[in-house]
Amino acid sequence: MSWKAPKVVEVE
Amino acid sequence: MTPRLCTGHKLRFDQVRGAWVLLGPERLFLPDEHAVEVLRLVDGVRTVDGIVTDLAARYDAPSDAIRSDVVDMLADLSARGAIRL
Repeated sequence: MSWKAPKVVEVE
Repeated sequence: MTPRLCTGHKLRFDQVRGAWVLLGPERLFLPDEHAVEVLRLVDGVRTVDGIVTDLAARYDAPSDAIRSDVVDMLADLSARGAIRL
């Protein structure tokens, strides 16, 4: 599997 | 360095969103697919080295690249009070 930088969005 | 989730923060599968979320007091974090893989390994036992080794065995990428991304992500979540390093 290919890897990419993980992203986390904060959160209504 | 052994990261762990801060008190009150839990990784949960949100049935409504159909996605994993990191739930904290009064807020939640929406991790993408790769961030979920990292967070599932943050158990307070594994070191960053251990997390990187696990991911490097599953993903086609140099360990150094994975390490850099993982450290950046954990530092960001630490700054936001979700993870203790």
